Amino acid sequence: MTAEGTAAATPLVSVESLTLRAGRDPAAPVLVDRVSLEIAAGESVGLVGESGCGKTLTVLAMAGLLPADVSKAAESRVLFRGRPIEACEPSPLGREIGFVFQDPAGSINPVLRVGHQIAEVVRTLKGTSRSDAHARSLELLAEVGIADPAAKARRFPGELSGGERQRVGVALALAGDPALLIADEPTTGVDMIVQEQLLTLIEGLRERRGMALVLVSHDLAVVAEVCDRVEVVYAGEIIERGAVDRVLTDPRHPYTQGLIRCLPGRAGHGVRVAAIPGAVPVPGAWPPGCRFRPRCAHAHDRCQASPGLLLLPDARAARCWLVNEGGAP
Amino acid sequence: MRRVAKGVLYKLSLVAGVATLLFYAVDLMPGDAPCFGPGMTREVCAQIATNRGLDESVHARYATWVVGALTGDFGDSHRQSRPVLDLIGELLPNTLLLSGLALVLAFGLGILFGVIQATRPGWVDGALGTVLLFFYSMPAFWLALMLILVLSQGLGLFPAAGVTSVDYDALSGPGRLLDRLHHLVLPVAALTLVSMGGVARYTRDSMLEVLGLDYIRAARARGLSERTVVYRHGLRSALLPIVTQLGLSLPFLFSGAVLVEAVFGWPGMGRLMYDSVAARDMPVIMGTGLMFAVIVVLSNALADALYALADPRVRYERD
Amino acid sequence: MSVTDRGTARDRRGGPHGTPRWAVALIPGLGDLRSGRPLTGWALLGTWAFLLFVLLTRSGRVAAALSGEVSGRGAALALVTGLALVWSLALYSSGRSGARTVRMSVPWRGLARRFAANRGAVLGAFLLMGLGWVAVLAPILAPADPLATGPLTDRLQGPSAAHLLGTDEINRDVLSRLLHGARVSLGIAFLAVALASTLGTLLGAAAGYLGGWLDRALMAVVDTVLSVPRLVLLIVLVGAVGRPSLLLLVLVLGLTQWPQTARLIRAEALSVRDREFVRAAEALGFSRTRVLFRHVIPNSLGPVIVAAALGVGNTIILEAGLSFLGVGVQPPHPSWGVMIARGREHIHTAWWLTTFAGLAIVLTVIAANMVGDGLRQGLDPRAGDDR
Ligand SMILES: Nc1ncnc2c1ncn2[C@@H]1O[C@H](COP(=O)(O)OP(=O)(O)OP(=O)(O)O)[C@@H](O)[C@H]1O
Ligand code: SF4
Ligand SMILES: [Mg+2]
Repeated sequence: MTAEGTAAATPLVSVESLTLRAGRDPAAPVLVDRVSLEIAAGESVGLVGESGCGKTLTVLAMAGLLPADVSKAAESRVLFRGRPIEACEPSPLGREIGFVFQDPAGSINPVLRVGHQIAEVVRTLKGTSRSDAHARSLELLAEVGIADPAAKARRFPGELSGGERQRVGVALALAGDPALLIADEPTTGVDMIVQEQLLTLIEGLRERRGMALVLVSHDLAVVAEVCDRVEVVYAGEIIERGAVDRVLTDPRHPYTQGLIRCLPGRAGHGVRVAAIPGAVPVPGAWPPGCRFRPRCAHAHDRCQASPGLLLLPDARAARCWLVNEGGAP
Repeated sequence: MRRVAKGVLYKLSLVAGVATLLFYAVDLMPGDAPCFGPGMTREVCAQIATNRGLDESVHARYATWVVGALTGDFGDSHRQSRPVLDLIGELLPNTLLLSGLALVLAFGLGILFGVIQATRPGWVDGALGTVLLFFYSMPAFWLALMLILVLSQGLGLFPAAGVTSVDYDALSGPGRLLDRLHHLVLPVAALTLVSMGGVARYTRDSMLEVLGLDYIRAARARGLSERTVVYRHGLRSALLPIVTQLGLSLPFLFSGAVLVEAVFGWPGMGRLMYDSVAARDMPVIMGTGLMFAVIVVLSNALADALYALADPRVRYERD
Repeated sequence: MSVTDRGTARDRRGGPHGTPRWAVALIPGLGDLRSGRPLTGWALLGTWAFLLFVLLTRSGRVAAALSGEVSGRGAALALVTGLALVWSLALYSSGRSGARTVRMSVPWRGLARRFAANRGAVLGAFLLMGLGWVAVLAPILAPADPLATGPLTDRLQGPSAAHLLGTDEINRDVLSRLLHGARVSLGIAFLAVALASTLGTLLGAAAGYLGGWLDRALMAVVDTVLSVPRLVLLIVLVGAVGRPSLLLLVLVLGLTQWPQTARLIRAEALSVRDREFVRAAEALGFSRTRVLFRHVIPNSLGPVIVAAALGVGNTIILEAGLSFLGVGVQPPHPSWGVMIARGREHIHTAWWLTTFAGLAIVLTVIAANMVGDGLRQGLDPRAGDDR
């Protein structure tokens, strides 16, 4: 139990030393390695990293939604408002945490009308009557920017466009008026214009509702546009964190520096700088010492030992031997 | 429109194909129509055969039959000298009652057990699966005999044969109903127990597949209760293929009970068919065979239609 | 239990875990068991033990049968050759120091692994194998002649030490009839399914791969046959004959089943024919027939195998049903269906007649269904597996 007085200081979610493995066996490959992070109420945080680095698993664990074949290490803790998320009664899912899934088409039931699905969630979470829930579902559809909600509510998911389905996914996550919205790559599979619209929508929703937001993306530009703070993930570890504008202007980790150099429009005068050479190592094949070493231009002898996450002023941190409190490596 | 017409035409040609197949197959089979009884000398038999047109060529007889069938005349039974349609009309209701009840129960119980298996992995699933497989692997007629042995003969709970008791006419209205139900228990139980295993397996697999889909996990993540997730979202999708299965099972209503009917002396299609085949009673064989073909073809069409009705995806993908 | 079909490095050097080589040579299956091939090991060991047991306990009978004094020469020969084969296999593999690797293409290897991990399927396979041997060895195993009648004054004896499963209405030994019945019932079912699978595979694959008029014509035939419930079709066909021979039964059961197989494999062939390796083979100029047999059929076989296993159980039930109606196997041939039909008339006084014959059917069909399920799950890892 948290004391009343400290409630304001308690973060909405805190993840402490999250280690995830592929299977129950303690010797199974590690997928996410001792990740710790906190999300305060009303804050918007971006999680950035290349495909397969463990972003989805981290946010699933945050919501207590881990798949059955992924196990959490005994010392790992996920606290929601200061209490272990598994022990929260009733479950904060839907009520306090809204989740927008990576694959919106697959995460909506194809054989039920979308209006019905939203109303169903509203009724379960809010205990409202059938007709009120229906009215609320139309409001939600309008809120996520769907034109002619009454008509679209009667459609099946397969009868909507990809962008509309994504919006329905957001509406479903908002149905319980959550305090935290987790959006896992909400813009996969849509074109640039729709992506822009969706990001604007999510940003607007967060501001209007005062929700906290966790936005997962492989694209630093997307996070830069929407979030206040960024956590950069590489090979199951957090390698850099800080306020978005500070990280963008003054990245400390060679990997983040590489990411920024790859951003379109930042390469300077249309010169396309080659992406970071090599590929992310897969879980189980992480090199000893610094996991970025095989791809790092600054690698040296010390990098054969694992660098810790070095805490820096202004709530920043980076995981690299070259980082010192003064400035760039 | 053209596609529909083409489909109907194809289905009609299937029915015609069945008629041809049956007629020539039975004719090809070695053996002759049995002819015995008092006064049945060789000459009399030959005379009867001539009267029935049996000494004409197969093709001529088939042509005669086709012309009759097209005008709705399926001829008279050789054995009983009554119109084939009358015979079918008299016996079909008994069969429909028996296998209809069994079909409803088999699907009801099968779906129930399948859902239980899918939602309770571990020993419940395993035990239920084993029991169902056991019944599923039995010949229905043997199970019927075992039920008679134990429940009828051993414990005296249910009658072992017939549709009604001997004193049926003396019973009151409700008494008659009860008597009929009493006679239905064992044959229906035998048919149901044997067929529900398949339905349960189908439901279980379909359910497990659906419950592993992303939108089911997503539904949980949105805060829906486990009940809503499993029954409203899971079962609804899982039942779609089962609806098709139900449509495809409709012929069972007419033929599934043949052997069980034989065990219980149940006057239905099974007996009609069997007796007519044994006597090479061509008009009845053709009449019943054709009826089955029509039913199968209609059931297949119905299964498609049901599926399209039940699954919105099929509906809008068609346009 | 983890199952691999590859020998470990250690057994290449001879007796793993200190098992002397002479033991591996003498006891079939031991080598496989010791080098991590429990399935092959137990199958060989079980077969060997069973055959040896039969030979030792019934040596007089076997000798008499071999010299032609009593019937069952074929069974005795099968027993002796079976035993010799199993033993020579052991000798052979011990000579090669157990480094026997079974070469299978990738999909089949996955199937074998998943099948071996499925306890029910393995049990079913062993059961079916055992039942197969029982059928083959029936004349040697049976305590009495299945057709020999005893004194009628003493008929319908209940189970006793003299007649373990009792005697029937003309005082024949029920156990002996049951064992011989396995020959008839299993024999008919396996032959009919083999016929249906071969015919269905060839025609279905050809239709799916070649397409065109052949496909249309064949599918019209398939749809027509499938438009009559199979039992109805069977009753009409064999009922018209009245007293069908065993050969005719096999033919009719097989010929009413192939359309299902054909439809399955056609669907598979339709998807296979657009895969790269088929296109590549065609581009290389191989003949259509060659591509059909080398690529299309091997890659479409999965569903056929499953259907065949399930079909064995189904066919046994159908044959029993026909025999029960009197239009299947004809007395005095001891088929299980016939035994149930005969026993039915005496169900009030002699329960053992119907009960044991039915249990024999149930046992066989369960085994076939378990094998079929195992194959189905093995081929499609998603299909209702234990999670
Ligand atoms: N259920 C699971 N069982 C075993 N391994 C898994 C499971 N789910 C994910 N993984 C593995 O864990 C690693 C991290 O997966 P995760 O889905 O979190 O990546 P991600 O960063 O979200 O990537 P993406 O951008 O492709 O979505 C991947 O290597 C993935 O293969
Ligand atoms: S620790 Fe070494 S290898 Fe790793 S990022 Fe820093 S400089 Fe590069
Ligand atoms: Mg992801």
